[in-house]
Amino acid sequence: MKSAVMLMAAGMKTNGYEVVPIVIDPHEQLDEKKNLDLLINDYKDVYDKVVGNTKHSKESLNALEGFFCTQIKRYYEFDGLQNDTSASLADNRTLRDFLDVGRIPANDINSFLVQTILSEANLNNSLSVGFKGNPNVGTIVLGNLIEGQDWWDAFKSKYETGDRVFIISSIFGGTGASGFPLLLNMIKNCDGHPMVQDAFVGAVTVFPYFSLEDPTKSMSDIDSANFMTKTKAALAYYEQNVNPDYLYYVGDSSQKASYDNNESEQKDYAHFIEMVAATALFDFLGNRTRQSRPQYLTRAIENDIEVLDLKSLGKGYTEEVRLIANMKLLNLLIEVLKNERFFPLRKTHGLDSNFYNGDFKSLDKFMNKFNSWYDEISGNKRGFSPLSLPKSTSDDLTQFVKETTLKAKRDHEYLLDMILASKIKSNNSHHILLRYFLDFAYQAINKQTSNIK
Amino acid sequence: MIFLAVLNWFTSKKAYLENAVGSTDDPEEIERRKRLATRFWNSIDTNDVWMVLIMAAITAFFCYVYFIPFNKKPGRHYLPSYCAIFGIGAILLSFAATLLYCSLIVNMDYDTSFVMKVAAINAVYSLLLYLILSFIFCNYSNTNAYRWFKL
Repeated sequence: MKSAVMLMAAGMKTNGYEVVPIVIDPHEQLDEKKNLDLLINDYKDVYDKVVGNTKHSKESLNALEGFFCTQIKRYYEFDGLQNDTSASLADNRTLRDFLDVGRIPANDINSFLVQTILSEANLNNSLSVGFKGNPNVGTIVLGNLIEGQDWWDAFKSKYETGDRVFIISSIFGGTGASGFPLLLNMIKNCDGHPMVQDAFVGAVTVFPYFSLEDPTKSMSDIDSANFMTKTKAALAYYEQNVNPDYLYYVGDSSQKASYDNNESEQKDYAHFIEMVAATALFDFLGNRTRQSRPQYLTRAIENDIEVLDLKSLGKGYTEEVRLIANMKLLNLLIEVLKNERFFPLRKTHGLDSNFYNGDFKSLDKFMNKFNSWYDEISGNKRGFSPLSLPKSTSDDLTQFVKETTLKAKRDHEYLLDMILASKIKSNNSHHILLRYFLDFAYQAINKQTSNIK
Repeated sequence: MIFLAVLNWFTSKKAYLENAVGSTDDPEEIERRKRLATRFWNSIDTNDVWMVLIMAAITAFFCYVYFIPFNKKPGRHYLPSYCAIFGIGAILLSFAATLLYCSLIVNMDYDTSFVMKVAAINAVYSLLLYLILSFIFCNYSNTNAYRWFKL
């Protein structure tokens, strides 16, 4: 989802669909989950300012053509609420308490069932830290947890014909692996909501693409050596029982990245495979229509090498590379323009120090997160590093995108194109400074990168 | 007329002619000197419109080139240094063009300092005109330059 937000910020289109993200993870204290929530808020903050959807704005505009072109909406906003009032998905009980195992008679068949499918460790784990890579636990618990959630009620009541559902999950963990089939099942068997039952559903499931350090060293319950076995077991189940309209499979044949095996923190760096999984969402929204049978898709790269660029990725990834280049060029322009005291748009469009100390900060905050994301994804294994970032803003920019050449050599060529974009009357039919900034920057950047092939 | 009006801040035609006569007592020499000084003064005086026009053309050209075509090219041409360079260029060229023009209509050796004063005043006019035209370009043109004087 993080990659999806980054791509939307970069201008990936959703065919006009608003995106309503719902993150399902009982591990409420997980930093990654909190950070995703904040990232979505940051995106919304920029988007709302750009379209004039703020308390102070008197204007209400359509989304921009380029950056931040998709509206992300929280489910509770449909009811006019400002905050999530849903109860936490986290359950502080252990699975043993949840199932009330103590009250099952020892010679009852259910007791034997519990002993067969759940280990002592499974039963003693707190549910508030997720399912620790155990889909067998998630399958039992998650349905009950979801049923009581406000977002589930909102989803059922607000879902309309023409809407689409897209489920993003991994197949080798606990929450995602169990949650995807379970959620799909809940949607397809949602009594009293025929539109939900008939929902057009896509999903992407991610195969193992990283490994964890030896669990005996970290005293972790998760052993990545089992990832492939779990994947195969899950696939065997999916084959017969999990059939959304579109199912995308994304994975890496070799698990190149290796992370610390820390269940509570799970500080995993952004990864190319996650970005590929995110692109499935856009493919589903933009290119797919309902077929008579479930469709199964995946993506390939051109060359199996450690660090991917435009050439090794192959032509299918041109758009992703272009958009990420756009975003990094925007970042470069931001660095330049903050200190460009005599940039003409300061006078003509109010992009002055007040602007940089005001609405612009929202964009700056998001860009910092985007930069961290790109650093992670480009430095990870396998690396997605299609850009050759200059050491200084005054450096030659023609080789900004590896394996291709941009026409503009210096930053001032982009600045001039921003000025020229500001002259077009249709770009000036409002008074939102952040919109000016992003709009003009996009037009200047797109002029250079639209030729990337 | 215009220049000499300004020059009158420093000297009048009458004072100039008296100064040109100097200290000689020879009536013929006095007459000759007066005639030379009058001819010199009048030559400048009757041609000052052309000098202003030359100055205005040069200044307007520099101003236009700076604000329109020069700023259509990439290179941070909106920076104040470029604006100053073009302004100085207009001033210097106006000064030089005035000297050149004066050299065509009068014998500059007769009173070089006077001609220099005329050229200097034309240069000052050039600066003023450059500022006025900059104001106009900043407010009413489609320039890509930094609009210093935008209201």
